[in-house]
Amino acid sequence: MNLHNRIALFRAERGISRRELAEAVGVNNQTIGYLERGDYKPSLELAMKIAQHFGVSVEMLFSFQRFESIAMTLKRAGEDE
Amino acid sequence: MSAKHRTVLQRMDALVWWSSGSDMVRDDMSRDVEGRRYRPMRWLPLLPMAFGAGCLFSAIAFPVPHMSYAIAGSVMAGVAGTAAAIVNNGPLGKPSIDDDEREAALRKNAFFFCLAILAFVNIVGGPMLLFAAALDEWVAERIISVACTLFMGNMIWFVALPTLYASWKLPRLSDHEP
Repeated sequence: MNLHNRIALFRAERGISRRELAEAVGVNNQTIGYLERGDYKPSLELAMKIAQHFGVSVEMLFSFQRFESIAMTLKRAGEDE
Repeated sequence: MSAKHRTVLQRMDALVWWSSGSDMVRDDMSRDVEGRRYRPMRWLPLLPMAFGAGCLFSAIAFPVPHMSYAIAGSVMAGVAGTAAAIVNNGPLGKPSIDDDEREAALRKNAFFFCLAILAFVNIVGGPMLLFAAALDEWVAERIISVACTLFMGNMIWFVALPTLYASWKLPRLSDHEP
């Protein structure tokens, strides 16, 4: 089963580099790259560390369903207004 | 804990940290993909592995004079050294002390795969060699030469196969990712 994530999105939004995130959660920066590309599924401990670093719940970062694109989210937000 | 009450292993561990060897490893691993010393080796380990298998096949199929054994042994030792050099520059080359969870899992899977393959080959091949030696009435020297070649072949495969496995398991990262 595929595990989708929004690590790259959160990282870009906070202006954090891969190296900074890697150092914060105690892994090599390449591992962050593999995580973002979906090439590696993290342990529960690592997933919770990343979520804790961004101050969000694990479900906001990882999901078995594909996350909605930013364009769709913005479009829906615009329609709601 | 005071330095006086440390165990031998704790003293050795402290010596590694004191020597800054672990810092060198950390610096090396934190470089960009292009600057990294440890690279996937998707084809190179096949060379010593093929050579090891070829030597074993030759030793079994074609009995050769004594001098040839010495030459072949020297060449195989050189190939084993080459395999070790390949490993040191491959994805499993860095000391495992600084592995993160992904690297530790990769190392574990690579060695498990290698040991499973070698166990199967040796369990199946060992009795076959015994039967061949009995049926063909090998002399002691030939048995010894085959056993030595088998040992060297096993060693080369044990060194090179995990690197090959880990290299193919590593996804290709773009060199210019942020």
